[in-house]
Parts: sequence; structure tokens; C-alpha cells
Amino acid sequence: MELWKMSATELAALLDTRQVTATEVCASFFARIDETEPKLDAFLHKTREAAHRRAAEADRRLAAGEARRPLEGLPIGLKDNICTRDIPTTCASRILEGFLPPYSATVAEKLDAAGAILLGKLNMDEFAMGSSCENSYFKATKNPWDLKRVPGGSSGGAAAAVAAGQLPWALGSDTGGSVRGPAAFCGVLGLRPSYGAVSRCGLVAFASSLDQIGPMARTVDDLALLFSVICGADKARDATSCALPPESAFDPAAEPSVKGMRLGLLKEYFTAAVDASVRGAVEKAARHLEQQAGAVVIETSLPSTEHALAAYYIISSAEASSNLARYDGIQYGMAAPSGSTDPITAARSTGFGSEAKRRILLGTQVLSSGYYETTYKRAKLLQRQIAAEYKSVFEQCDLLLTPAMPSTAFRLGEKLADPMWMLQSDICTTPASLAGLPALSIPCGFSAQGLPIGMQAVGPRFSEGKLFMLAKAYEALIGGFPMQEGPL
Amino acid sequence: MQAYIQHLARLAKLSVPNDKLNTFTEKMCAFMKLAETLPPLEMDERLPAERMLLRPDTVQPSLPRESVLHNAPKVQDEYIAAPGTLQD
Amino acid sequence: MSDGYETVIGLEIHAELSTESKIFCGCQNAFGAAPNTLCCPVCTGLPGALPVLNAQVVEYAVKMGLALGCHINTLSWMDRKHYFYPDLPKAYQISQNDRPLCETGQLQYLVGGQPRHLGITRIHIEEDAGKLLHDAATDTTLIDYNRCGVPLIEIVTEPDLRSADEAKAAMEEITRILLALGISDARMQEGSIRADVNVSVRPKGQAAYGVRNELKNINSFGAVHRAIVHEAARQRQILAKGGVIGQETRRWNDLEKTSVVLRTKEETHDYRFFPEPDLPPFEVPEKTIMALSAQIPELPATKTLRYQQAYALPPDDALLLAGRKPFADFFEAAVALRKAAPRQLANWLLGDVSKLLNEHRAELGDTRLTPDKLVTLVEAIDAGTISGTAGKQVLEHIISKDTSVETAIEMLGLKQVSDAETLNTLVNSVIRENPAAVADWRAGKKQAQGFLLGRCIKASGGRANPQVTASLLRQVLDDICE
Ligand SMILES: [Mg+2]
Ligand SMILES: [Zn+2]
Repeated sequence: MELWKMSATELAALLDTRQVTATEVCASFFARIDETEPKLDAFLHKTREAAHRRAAEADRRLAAGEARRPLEGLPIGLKDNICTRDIPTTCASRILEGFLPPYSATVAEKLDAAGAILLGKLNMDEFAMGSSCENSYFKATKNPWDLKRVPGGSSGGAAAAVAAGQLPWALGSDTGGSVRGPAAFCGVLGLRPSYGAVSRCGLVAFASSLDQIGPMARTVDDLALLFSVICGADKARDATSCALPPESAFDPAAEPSVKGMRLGLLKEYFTAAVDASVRGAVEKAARHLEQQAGAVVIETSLPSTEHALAAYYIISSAEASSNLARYDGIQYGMAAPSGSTDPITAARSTGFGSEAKRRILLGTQVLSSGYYETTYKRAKLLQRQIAAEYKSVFEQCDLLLTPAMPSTAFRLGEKLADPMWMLQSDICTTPASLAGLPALSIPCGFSAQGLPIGMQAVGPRFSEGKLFMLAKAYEALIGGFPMQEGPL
Repeated sequence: MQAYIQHLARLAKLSVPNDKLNTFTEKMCAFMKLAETLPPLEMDERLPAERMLLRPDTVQPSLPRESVLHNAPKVQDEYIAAPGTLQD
Repeated sequence: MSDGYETVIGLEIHAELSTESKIFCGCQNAFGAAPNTLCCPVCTGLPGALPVLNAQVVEYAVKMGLALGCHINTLSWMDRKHYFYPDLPKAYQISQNDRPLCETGQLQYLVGGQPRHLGITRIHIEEDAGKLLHDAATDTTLIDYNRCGVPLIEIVTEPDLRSADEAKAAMEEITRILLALGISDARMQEGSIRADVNVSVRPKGQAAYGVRNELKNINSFGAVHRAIVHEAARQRQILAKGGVIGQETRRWNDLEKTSVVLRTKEETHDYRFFPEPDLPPFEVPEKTIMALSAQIPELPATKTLRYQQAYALPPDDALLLAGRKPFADFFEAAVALRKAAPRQLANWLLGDVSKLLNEHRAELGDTRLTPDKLVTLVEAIDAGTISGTAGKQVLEHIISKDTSVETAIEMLGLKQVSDAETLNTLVNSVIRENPAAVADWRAGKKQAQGFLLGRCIKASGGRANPQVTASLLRQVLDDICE
């Protein structure tokens, strides 16, 4: 079998037994990238030379008999809003074109220390604002299952690359569903960790109180392994980070079981707001888990779900307007066109795309005196209300099952003109974001058109281990998640 | 509404071109309509339970000046340079 | 001014805290480093960098709050304050809006030795901005980020001040307290303490405040005074002509002694405050507050009043001593030896000792002078062992050398000569050598006697006891005349 078709865990075993070299692994993935990238457009920047150097280094270490570090010799890609020292980090925005961070994100340092090999930076919606990857200033990534369709967003490049075998896994970021949405559209696993579980240091901020870096992969073992490397407190660099309690740990060697696990189906999602094909697939998966694996399925409800979207957009736009105020073309990024009478306004007006501008304006309004009390403050209260409702739901069940996206991947350009639809596409993912809960998008079949469908499992804070357990049991049940192996 | 959007744009240091003003207004209105659906909640304003740990007052190395200046579009001597015509 | 108007003044004082590192990052907090060398991703607001709050900043601010009798909020948080300016790399300042660390306190300060009180509205912590230089040749603004993230406390007062004198005195007292607590260098010339001044004017007896103007950019105590005098006069002039004061933010230009409008009411910033999402709320435990409260020393104004009452020092002297901790400590140690008069000790400290320190650009603590030595020196003068003039020479010696007062007097040969026989010989020889002065004296020019006495002292190398020599000289002159 070709190396690029293998999971990271499988590759690790081959490296451990010296059956392959890191150089061979890297070469195989770059070959797949070279073959598919002209049609996929998943990468914004490739780090080919550095990757080969690092692979050779790993091979030297391994040949010398040194112990293999947990990710040594394994290729990875990062969404382009994760800072990498001296490697371009643009957030797919013109305003950060050419920006070379003088430091690396904590997750990038951790991957580095674990021996992972960075192959490049992945496309996204500008500043992670969007659900289709079409808001990238540089290019639109395509869905590997249907090149006329979007991969989802904002971590569209990461999802497409993993689904097409350009990478065994990747890191994305999730604010309102930016890992889970594209994972569902591309048929891969995508975890939004509990808020604080992964350091945000070096993640270019969109909405600070909601942003989380999350892993994407094709097998549960890979996903859990990658998460175990990047998670943990980083108090010296991120005051919102925290240590995970021991019960969140996941033992890959343990037999996966959901026997007796109470799975709640939230009735708010099984309505016309969600495509019938998606509803059907999620219900089928739930039944499957019940009948074949002994899970207990209960119908339950989260009444404030209907308001989550409004609260999410208010909070995220407010924080975005603040976080994006620093881009002024003076200290870094795109310079103002020369001769401008107001250089800051000129730089920002040319540097930001429409979606970013619109959210900055919304956020500015939300925070302005006169609106703050009825919008921002109200949204923050609703956020607490939602967290409280989750808490009581989790007294009845262990995990919740919902669709990850209300539809399957749509056509490129199809929804661009309809911003309200774009907002609606986040209805399934924003509630868990607001409550700071871990949520995992799990592939659960294909639509009649052959497009992947994802279900979302949500758990109490720091229940990542339980989410992996459920996903692994389901993975075993259906015999694994398919990847797009075709030539594209 | 369009005048108000221009006001917001000034606050955010953005300019909205006139030909985009209509679509911007439309989309902003759609959003505000969504925002207005939020119900007022009767909840006490308790804060999240988490408390932040503070950092000990110890000095860590700074960046070399080259790194500080490296990304700036314009540099003069040891400084980052901004165009002179800056508005308050 | 007795024109029927009253000036109402409130202050917003920003003081840089003298921590080791900055407020949200580990960059060194230092003044005067080469441009852009004390910077990191956090303090220059690079994408992805996050703040982490320095515990020392919180402690220092709480200390100031306790010194001013504030209520300390055990639960507090940071807020973002937005405005665009190139010295503010994130385009927002991390500050405190909703829940400052300290609220509702009171400052006691002195005007002419009399205590006055100024209400403290709040004290909060925030980050300083960078420094801008304008290069006129290239019409370019040059940015130095070193000051970005230097910790500040902002002290906001009630509008309790009624004159420029009061404002200046209050500001000086705050500076003395910062120094006494050891939490700020409070050097105005380095910009480590700055003030915005709110001034309004109202008819005397009117309860409602007039429309206030905010004056920014005030960098010295003198400028605080001048700016207020100027602004109060400007507002009075407008009112006297029947005009209306517009609510404005003005920039004071101390060189030209004028202010110009920065913003009118219509243009006031909408700062769009909201809680800083990168920094969760933090707690100052009751136990920490208790511990810090035990560390608050006697404040300079209290000390000044005590010196006035206990040692009968004049108000100005009392204030000068009390305001400088090393001097106050030295003075009290000396007084505790109970040998010399407090007044004399104060005079020596504020006079010759200060002069020598200035000449040598030294601090009291850097010298070899001890309270014990100063007391011994004053006693030697009192006892007539040395003259006052010789005392200054002795001081110069013992301030830099590790010798006792006695040894210094011995070494310098300054022991006063009171022996009549020796002095008689001296006087006679001076009279012989200055016949013209003696003739003057004879002719009734009495000042000639002073001249001759000076000659005697000089001829003795300053050692002749002036009183004894004077009476001997008088005797000899009288003898000559008879
Ligand atoms: Mg302030
Ligand atoms: Zn720094």
C-alpha cells in the first residue's frame, strides 16, 4: 500500500520497526500533494525543503538507535492562522500577506518537540470567518469528493487535505464550528476541544473567548494521539488555558465500548432546518450504536438552541472587531497605498475582504454605546443560560448526538450571495462553542450524491476521552471511515 | 441606516465604497434582525467560576530588534515608521 | 480670585510602576534602553500573542489603594479600551473599566502646613503605550515600542480641588507616596508620572458643576499649576463675556503656555469597552490584602504633621524631610539619639548635607554619613570644640571617608583654639599687620573690627574660637585707643 494512504498510527508502527524511513514517508505525501494540489488548492504555503531536512534528521536519529519521539517522522499541516516562526502565516488575508511571525504557536512548538514534520500551511476563510473556504483572499479550496463543491470552512484546507490523503492529519481551529463543519463536509474526524484544553498562544485571534485549535484526522487513534500531544495548560503564555483532568485521558489500547452509554438526541436538530438526508444518517448511526453496541438512545432537548446563533454572532463579531483592530499596515502586513490621507483606513479597507469588514462593522456596532447592553450583554447572558441547560441535559445523558452541519457540501459560489444561509449553516455547531464544550464531528455515511455526512457528538467539559471512545466504537462498527483515494 | 454604517466604518477605520453600501446595509440589517431575536434574560450577573493565575514578576528575553522591525513595511533607523499624516 | 467664580479641579494621574518586567509579558521594564529592544510578540501586539498578568502589578496597585484608604475589590478583571493610534499596537489598551482594583479612598495632603483632603474615585491598572517621535524632515512618525506594556496605575480623583496650588500640592503628595511605597520612580521628566487635569468653573455658591474641559499632556508639577491657572482664566473670560463653555479635550502646550482643542464633545471617543476575553477575572485574596496593608508605611503628609508638632520644624522643612524616605529615616534615627536639637539636625540635612549630595550626585545611602556621626558633629559645634565653619569641613570629610568625627577634627587640625594666651598673640600680630584697619577703627569706622576678626580667624586656619577672639580683639583695640 502506498504510504500516503496510511494513518499516522500505522506509519508510526512502520517507522518504529524501521520498515520505512521518514524521508520515504515525506516523499510519498509530497507526491500525493503534487498530484492532487492543482485541483484541490488546499495549501497556502508548502515547506518542502525544511520538511525534507527534518525527515533526514529524524532518519539519522532513528538509524543511530535513538527512541522515536511520539510524532517523529510523521507529516502534518497547520491551518494558516497558527503562527509558525519564519514561515508565512497569513490567515488567508491580504492584510497579512508576507507576514513572518518571529515566534511559533505553542501547538507548533509541541509538534516540533514531538518530532512531527510540517509540510505546509493550509487554506481557510479569511481570519476564520466563513463556512466554505471561499473567503480566502488567495484561493478557494475544493471538496475532494466533488471538486465543484466547497470543503466547508473555515478550516477547509485542513479538512480537504486530510480527506484526500495529502496529509494523515492536520490542525484546524474552531470558533463556531470551523473544525467540525469542514470535517463533516469532507468526511473526516474533527475535534473542537474543551475551551482551554489547547493553548491559544500563537493562534491568530478571531473571537478569543470561543477560539480553540482542534485536530482533524481519518482514524480515531490518530485524532486522539494528536490531541494528546497538543493539549495541556500553558499558563505562561495563555491565561485561559488549563490542565486536563485525568478522566479526559483516552487509552488507545482499551477495547472501545459504548455499552450502557446514554446518548441524547437533541430534538431541536431533527426539524426542517436540517436536510432530511443528514437527519436520516445521524438517526441511523444512533440506532446502529444502540442495536449493535449497546448504547442507550434518549430523546432530549436544549431549549435555548434557537438563540445560540444570534448570541454566537454577537459575541464573535464583537471580539473580532476588537482583535482585528490591530491590522493597520504599519507594524506588519500590507502597507497602506502610498499617498493616502488616512493610511490606516486605506490599509484596512484594501487589506480586509468583505466578510471580515462586515463582521468588524457588526462588532463595532455591538460594542458601541447604545447597543452594548441590548446586544453584547444579552448575548453573554444567553451564553450562560445555554451552558446551564447543557449541564442539566448531561445529568440525563453522557453524550449528545446531533448533525454536524444542516446539509452536505454545497456548490462553490452557490451560497456566497446569501449571508443568512451562511449564518444558518452554523446552527448545529455554535451551541457547544458558546458553552465551551468539546464536540467531535464523526463521518456517518454519504448522501445519495456521494457527499459525506457528519454527526456531532458533544460532551461535558473535558470529556474528550469519552468522545474518542464513542467515535472509536462507531469506527469499529462500520469498519472505518473511507478516504478519497482517487486521482481527483 | 447607510449614514449609520458610514459612522461605524469611521469608528472601525474602514471605508465602505458606495457601490458596496447597499449590499452591506442589507446584510447588516439581516444580522441586526437576528440579534434582535435575543430575549432579555433575568439572570444575576454572576461571573464564570474560573479565576486567573497571575504571572511572577520575572524578566524573560525580548526579541532582537531585527525581529521587531522585520515585518514593518517601512523602517527608519531603529524605528518603525508610520506616514506622518496620522489622524487621532 | 474673588470675581465671584470658583474653579473646580479633578485629576487623572498615570504613574508607571517600577516592576522588573512589563505588565503582560516578560520584557524588562526599563527606561532609556535603545529603541525597540525591549519588545516581544505580546507587548507589540503581534497576531496570536496573549497577555498574562504580572502579579507584582496587582500588589503595587493594591498597596497604593491601601495607602489612600481605598476599598479593594477582591474580585477584579481587565477590560479592553479601543482607539486607533500608532503608539498602541493592538489598537486597544488593556485597562480596567467596570471593576477597578481600588475604589473610594482619600488623599491627605498639605497646603502651607495645613491638612486638606481629596477624594479618590478609583485606582486601576493598565498598560502604557509606546513612544512616538516626529521626523519633520521626512514627515514620518517614528515608533519605539519599548514603553508598550509598561505597567501603569491610573488614579482618578474627585473634583475636590479648588485651586492650582491645591492641585499641584496634591500631585506632589501622590508622588511622595509612590516613592514612600517604593512602587514607582515617579520621575516626571522621564514621563513616569503624568496627569490629565479636568477643570471647570462655576459661580460661587452654585451646587452644580460647570462644563469641564480635560487638559492632556501635562508633564511637570509646574505645568499642572500653569495649565490650571491658564484654563481657569480662559473659562472665566468666556463666562464673563456671557459665553458658553464647550466640553472639550485640550492639549496643553507648556512652552507656549496655551492649550489647543484636541476633541470636542461631538468627537469624543466611543471606547467600546468590554471585558478582556484573554484574561479571566482574578482574585486578590483577603489574606494578601491584610499582608500588604501591614507593609504600608507612615505617609509623608502624616509624617510632616508629626515633625511639625513633635519637633517644631517649620512646615517646609518638615515636608522636605518627610517627603524623602532616606532623609526621614536618617533624621528620625538621629533624633532618637536624643543628643542634638531636631531643628539643627534638620538644618544640616536639608542644608549642607543636601548640597554635598547634589554636588556629588549621590544618595544619602551611598555615603559614609551615619546619624550617629551627624549628631556627634552637631554636638562638637555646640560644645565649641570646632567652629560652625570647621563643621562644614568635617562634614565634607566624614561624608566620603570612613572616619569618626573626632578623627576628622584631629586630622584636619580643626580643633577650635580658645586658649587666651595663644589667641592674644594672634590678635596682636594681626593688629600689627593691619595698621590701616586700626586707623579706621580709631576714626570711628566700627566695621573695621569685623574685618580684623576675620583676619584673626583666617590666620588661625579657622580654628580660633570666634567669641573668645572677638572679645580679646575688642580689649586690645580699646587698650590701643586709651
Ligand atoms: Mg488611562
Ligand atoms: Zn514584551
